[in-house]
Amino acid sequence: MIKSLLRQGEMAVLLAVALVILPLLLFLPPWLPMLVLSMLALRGALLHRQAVLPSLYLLLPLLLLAVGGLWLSLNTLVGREGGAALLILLLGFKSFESRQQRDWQVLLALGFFLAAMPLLFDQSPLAAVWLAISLLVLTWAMLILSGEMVEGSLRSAMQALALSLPLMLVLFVVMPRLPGPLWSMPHDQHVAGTGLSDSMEPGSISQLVQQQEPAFSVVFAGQAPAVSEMYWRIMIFDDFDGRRWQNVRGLSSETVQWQGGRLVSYSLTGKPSKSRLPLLEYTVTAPAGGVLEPGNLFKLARDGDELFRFQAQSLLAAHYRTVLSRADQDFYRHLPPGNPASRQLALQWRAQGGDGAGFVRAALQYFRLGGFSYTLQPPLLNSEDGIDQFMFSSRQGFCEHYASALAFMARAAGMPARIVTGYQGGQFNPVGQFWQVKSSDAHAWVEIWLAETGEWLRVDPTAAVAPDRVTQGVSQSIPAMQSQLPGLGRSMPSWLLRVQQNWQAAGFAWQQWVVGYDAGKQLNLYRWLGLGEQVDSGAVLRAVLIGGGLACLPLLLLWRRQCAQSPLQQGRDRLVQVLAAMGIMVVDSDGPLDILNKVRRLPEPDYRQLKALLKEYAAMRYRQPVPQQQARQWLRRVKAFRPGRQ
Amino acid sequence: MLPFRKSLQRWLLSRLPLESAGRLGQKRIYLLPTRFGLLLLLVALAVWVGALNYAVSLAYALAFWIIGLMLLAVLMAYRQLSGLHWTVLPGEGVFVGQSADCRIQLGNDSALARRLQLRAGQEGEPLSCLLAAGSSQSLALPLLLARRGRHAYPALQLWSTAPFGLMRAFAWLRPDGHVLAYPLPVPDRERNDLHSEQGCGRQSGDDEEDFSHLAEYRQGDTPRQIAWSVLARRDVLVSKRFASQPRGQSIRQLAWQDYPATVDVESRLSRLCWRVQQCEKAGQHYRLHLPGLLIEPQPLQRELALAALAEFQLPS
Amino acid sequence: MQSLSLAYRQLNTLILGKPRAIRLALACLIARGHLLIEDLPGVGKTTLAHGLAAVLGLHYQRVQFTSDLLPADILGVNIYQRETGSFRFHQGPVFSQLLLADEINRASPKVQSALLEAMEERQVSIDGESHPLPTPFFVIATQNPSEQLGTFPLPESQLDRFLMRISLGYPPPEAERALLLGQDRRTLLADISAGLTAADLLLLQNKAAALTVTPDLADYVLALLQATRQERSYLTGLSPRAGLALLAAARAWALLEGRDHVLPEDVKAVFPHVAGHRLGLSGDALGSLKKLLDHVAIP
Repeated sequence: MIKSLLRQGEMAVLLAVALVILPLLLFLPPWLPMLVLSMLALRGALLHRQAVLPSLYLLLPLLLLAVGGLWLSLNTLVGREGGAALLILLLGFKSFESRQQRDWQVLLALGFFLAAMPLLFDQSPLAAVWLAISLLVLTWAMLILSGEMVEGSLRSAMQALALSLPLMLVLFVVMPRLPGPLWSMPHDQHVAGTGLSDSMEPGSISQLVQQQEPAFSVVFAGQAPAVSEMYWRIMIFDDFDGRRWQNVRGLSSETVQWQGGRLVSYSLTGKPSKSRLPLLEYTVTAPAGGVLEPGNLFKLARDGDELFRFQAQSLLAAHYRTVLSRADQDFYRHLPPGNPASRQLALQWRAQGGDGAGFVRAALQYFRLGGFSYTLQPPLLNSEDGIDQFMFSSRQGFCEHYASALAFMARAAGMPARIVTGYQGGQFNPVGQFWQVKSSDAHAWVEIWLAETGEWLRVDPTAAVAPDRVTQGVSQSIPAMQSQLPGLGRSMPSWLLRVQQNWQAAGFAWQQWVVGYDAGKQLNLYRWLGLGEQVDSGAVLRAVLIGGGLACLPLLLLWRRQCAQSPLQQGRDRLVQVLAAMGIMVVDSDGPLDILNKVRRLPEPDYRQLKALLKEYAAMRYRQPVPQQQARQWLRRVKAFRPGRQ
Repeated sequence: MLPFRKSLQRWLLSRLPLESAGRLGQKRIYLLPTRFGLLLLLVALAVWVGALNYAVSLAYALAFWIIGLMLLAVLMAYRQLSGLHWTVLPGEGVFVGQSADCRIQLGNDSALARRLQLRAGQEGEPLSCLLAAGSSQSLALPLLLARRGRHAYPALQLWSTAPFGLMRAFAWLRPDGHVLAYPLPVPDRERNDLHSEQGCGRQSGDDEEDFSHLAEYRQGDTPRQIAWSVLARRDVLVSKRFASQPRGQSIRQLAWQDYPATVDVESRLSRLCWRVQQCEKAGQHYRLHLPGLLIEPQPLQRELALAALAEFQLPS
Repeated sequence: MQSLSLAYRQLNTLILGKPRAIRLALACLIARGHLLIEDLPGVGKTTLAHGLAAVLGLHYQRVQFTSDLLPADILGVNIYQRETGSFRFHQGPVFSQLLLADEINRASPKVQSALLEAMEERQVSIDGESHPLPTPFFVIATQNPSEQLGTFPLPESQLDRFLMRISLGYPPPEAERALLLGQDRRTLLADISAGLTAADLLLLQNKAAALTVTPDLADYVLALLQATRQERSYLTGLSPRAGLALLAAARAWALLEGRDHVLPEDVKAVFPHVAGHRLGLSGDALGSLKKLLDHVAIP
């Protein structure tokens, strides 16, 4: 009996782990999860037949063979793909090595660990749903493995998960999130890097912004500059083909004369992308380990994408003066044909403004007052004259649209201009006392060369359209509800639009509050809840105590309900109390009829009520045992009984 | 096993009173994670570290959910023992070398079923029991008795890892009960047959009554009584009459002094024990004489006599 | 049920002031148990037995036990028939539906054993031949506890052949007054009509055995058994068989109370009479059992 029960537990474990690794079919080379699933099925069949397990001498070479195959198809055994692949392979082989209950427990624990694997690849709400399902079957298997009856075990598992859910939520919210990774992971080659790409076209940055991965972190020595002053340069695009900006030229040398500015020292840690790391505008001397390229860009001396850390000094808000040769000026003024309306407007601005500074003023004013809006989902620019379409009809766009348009306008007006991409802003992490810059901070802006002063002037048209973007970051400047549907807005029935908008809003909230819940958000929450100004040990302790206390309330209720005596016993105790108050002593050895005998002298209405209650009590206990619910109803009636009242 | 675990246990047990019944409460229930529980905690830790490193928010959720389950397991395991009633039942005596049952009754008056395990001391073979809501059950733990005398019940460990197998709630009990190990019976036929009758009694074998005389046939005489030889020879129906003593009138004496001084204490006890057994089997009345003790025929004489033999000259 | 209450009423007119004893006796018979009445002579033991037989419409025989009684006098004998040269079995008085064994403790242990064995097995074996006893088959035995001289107390191990032991005791004064003024009991007895047939009785017995006993009630019975086993003043506790007997008696009592399920009160009502003789308590030492009932909580 016990043995067959345990076998059921083992089956449950196999079933649970198989379910857990199912989503990995999407993320790993499919043959591997398939192999492991079929191994688990085979193990189940052996279990069912109580057949002999293959010996270790057979299993070990097979395992090596499988690992070899893994190496051939993935080229790695570490990192998130290699690691996950190796783990499920080990799981499959461990199942063939599981004989005693202890082995099965190890397998089950491995299943719990593997439940985290799909999350490395996907953190959508769907992944969360799958996580809940995985946990449910794992908990169910755990219950059966430890000897619970199969009947009702699924319900128990659900109950257990529901009861631990509040605890999980509290810990999720209050447990401090550590800044930065503990160690760097080798980069997976199959997954696109998170850095900026070599060219810029509409959509290239807005895609990046939707990711929440940390890009790099910075610590300032002394006072940090204002967020709006933090422009992190990575790349320069100097050639426009009507749609895409690219870096064509790559100046060989540049003589810069720095003027003014405030000196700021900082140290930056980040993963280089194509040997490039960001620099705070404008970093005057090359940090150790790399060179300053023309355009005030930093290039590492060596290749590789390991985490790199450097110290640098920058002249904040300095004037970037350099001499451009005639040829260079022409190069920076080059435009493909097209966009006649924009060209005309540019010339108009130039005429209105007089000099270069005047042009910039006129341009920014146009962006500010021209009915432009800042959005992650701009309408598609599909016409030949993309700039015209943007400037005069759609007027919705992300930073790359604005930067592209302004650079075009400047060139059209005969002024040298280029686009700088990098990051803007950052979030201060009070726990680690550092600034975290994420991929969502990716940005693009424009530099215009003013012939009058010989200076590259930074012009950020996005700041004119959405001033919040440069002071508070992208998430504050794009309210989720404003997000619009590209192109489809008009033709869609309103309810569907509402559904889609709600879905997008939910997705955004998910992104913001679940996937993107980080140290900064945590601090805000702590402050908002009044738990402390900092996420320090005291605040965390307070939060855990208060939140944990609240989360334990359902447990307490369950405890009271299950540990308490049965409703019948409670009701009897209650009656005994009531009668004692009336001077009638009922002892434990009194049965229902004995009690009825003792209350015979009570006034008629009381006696009648008591008689009915006791009769029911006797019937429920000694005639036909009833479900708890009915007994609880009786208990309510007992509680409602007041002597001397009808 | 930790080196100080044994001494810790001993200290713990020494603090417990001997009890014949009780109810498990907060003070008596200890909680420790099982091996599996520790493993799962390790998994939670690993997932947490992974979450930190890869900044995977949902992995935090997984890690903390496992922690939540652990906390729930603590409560649930505690609930398995909390409020459990236990009562020591008297154990029945056995002969030396046999295993006696230490009997204990567990009662569950709560509205949930409990899954419990019980064992004697640290290493005993565990007994499982499933106590339905509002039921009680008595368990018998076998205890091998190698020596004659009174053996106290061993300290008992009652535990449960239900429902997850992650946490182990346990409690130690020191039941106030004992079992008796009677001396090992050693056959002593010689004295069983002779030398043992006194008083007016004669030994009455099963139905071996002595023939006394022949008498006229009476209605109701059994065929066995009829003197068939007489009937055959003389055609007269006569019955045999037997002189018999009513059973139970003779009392056999089993005495310490039946044996020469050279016979040592244990051998005497073993032989007397055998003879008590024989008398009980045959339904024979007997009287047991031990130095300073006389056990007369009375209800439950067997138990009294065997107990006296078991505890003879042993400090109680 | 109506005929049952009629029988009960008739018995009450016959034996005055003893409704409880009558009810217990009826319950005992409905539970298919034998009854031991322990009392002084002249309080109406015989009348009760006779009355029971009469109202239940049972075939009744009475045997006065004496020291010279032989087993054959009770069980019956094989009688040699000279004509045929063979033996024929003559049924003894035990072959009746209701046997009143008066002053059972006067007979020799041999006779007692023979009767008790027949009671247990519901058949008689003589010379290797068994003869089944009629159904229903009851024994009502009486004994006089105050007389010790020349008696053979029933062996304890065999006392539990009796489901219940009751005593009648002196009637209450007004009942005794009515007794003195009223008719002779014997003539009354003649007037009693059988309210029930043997078949009715069998039906009642089956009905009683089918009454509901919930786990809660079984727990109470267990608690009582347990209490007797722990009480040091009793030599030995009640056996599991005694527990079954207690439950059977409680069922019969509940049936007499007109219920289809058994309450703890039913168990309490019959408990002293079922447990007393099994625990080796004398008839007037039942107080300790009442005390025990007061101490055992109903779970």
